[in-house]
Amino acid sequence: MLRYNFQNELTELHTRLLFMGGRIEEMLNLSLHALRTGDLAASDEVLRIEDEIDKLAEEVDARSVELIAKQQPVGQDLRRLIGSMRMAIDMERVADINVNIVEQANLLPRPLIKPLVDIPRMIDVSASMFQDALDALINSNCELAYLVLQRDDVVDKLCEDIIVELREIMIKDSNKVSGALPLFVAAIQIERIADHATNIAESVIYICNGKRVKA
Amino acid sequence: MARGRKEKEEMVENTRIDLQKVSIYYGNLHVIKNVSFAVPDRQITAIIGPSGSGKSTLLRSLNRMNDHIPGARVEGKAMLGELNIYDSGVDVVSLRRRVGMVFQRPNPFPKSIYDNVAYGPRLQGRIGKPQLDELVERSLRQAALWDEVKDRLHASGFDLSGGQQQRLCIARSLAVGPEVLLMDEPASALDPAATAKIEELMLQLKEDLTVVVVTHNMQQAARVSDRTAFLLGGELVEFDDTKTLFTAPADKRTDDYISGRIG
Repeated sequence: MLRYNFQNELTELHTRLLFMGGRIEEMLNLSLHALRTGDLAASDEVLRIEDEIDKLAEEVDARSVELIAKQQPVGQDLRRLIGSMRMAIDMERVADINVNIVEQANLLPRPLIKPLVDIPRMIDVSASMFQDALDALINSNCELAYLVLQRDDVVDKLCEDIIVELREIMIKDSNKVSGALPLFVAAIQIERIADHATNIAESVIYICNGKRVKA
Repeated sequence: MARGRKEKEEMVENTRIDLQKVSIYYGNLHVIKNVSFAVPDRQITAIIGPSGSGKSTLLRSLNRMNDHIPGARVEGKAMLGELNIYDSGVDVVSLRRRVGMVFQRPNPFPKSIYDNVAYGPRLQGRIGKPQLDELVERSLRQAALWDEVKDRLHASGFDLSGGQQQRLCIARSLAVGPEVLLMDEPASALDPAATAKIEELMLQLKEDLTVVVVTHNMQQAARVSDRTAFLLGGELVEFDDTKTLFTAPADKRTDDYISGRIG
């Protein structure tokens, strides 16, 4: 085994991505908590983590560019770097979306117009997609990454159901628009988080076998 | 890598050299083991592999340069168009006119630039001065050297820089009108600027002829070649489009080699 330093650098890059993934899972929990309770401290924490993720994403990008220039990687090493850069962009976008969600949480009048059922499920499924995509990356488990792709449909369906339900509530009672609209927007934002988790799984598949899949 | 039938047919139609189960021995030493692949016409094919993998041996077998090595023996078929390179009746001199070679270190003859290029055509037979002048100019232009030497054609070849000497050797090979040019690490003794010129030249040359290059420089193989063959221990591990071989190789040994983990 040659090029120990380069391999260490790649491992370090992955460790950073996994750390970002962990922080994003925390953000998702905080966003859900903010939606449920309107807890401003949770919203503030989401904003703080978003800053942190921005910096980490920038670091991953800069480090990847530097490694491409210095090490001139090919084969799986090249795919790892390109995949890492793509993943960092997706994670950075997910962090932004979490900020959008807590903004909607802050707009929600309390008590909520309905108990949150499908939104927590959407967040659960999205978080598990994230978790599995990152596990697939650590273990080079291509099959697991393919399974992530299938779950995007589950989130899409939940989002559709929520939209139908909230639209009916708003049509029936215009007084509930201010309570329904932020949930409506939040659901669409969470659906986009699942799209980014799907992109991350696609990047893992690209790293694993060089195939470009598009779910 | 799986390919469609149409692409396969096109590959066969455009093949310039077809290696079919080629084995090469030096005495009892089995250096090249049952290697088969098709070198496409007017493309650059790179042969890569660690030291001792048999790259140069395989390259040199394509114009029978190994004939000079005592105990060297070739089995299988190496077809240049319709000609089996190793048929007993093959005229080796004429074969080497069709399949030229450029070596790692530039080796101009101790003659003028003009005479270096004119050497092969003169050997081939009577040729008038005007035609020879034209041929020398054309070959030097083809080797991207003309502008640098046109005012000193009668200076010694040794007066040129290393990179220029290598292009002079390429011009010398081109002067006899080969259809294939074999290049054995043609830029390994050159600085980056001279290397870049040789690579540019290779890309121009493939408009007119087929190039097979052996290189230790992975980036060079990735930059210039259309197809790449990876040899390990005398066996062909993988042969594919260069872009596939360098981004998503099918064999783990290829990935390990190109990314510097073995070799």
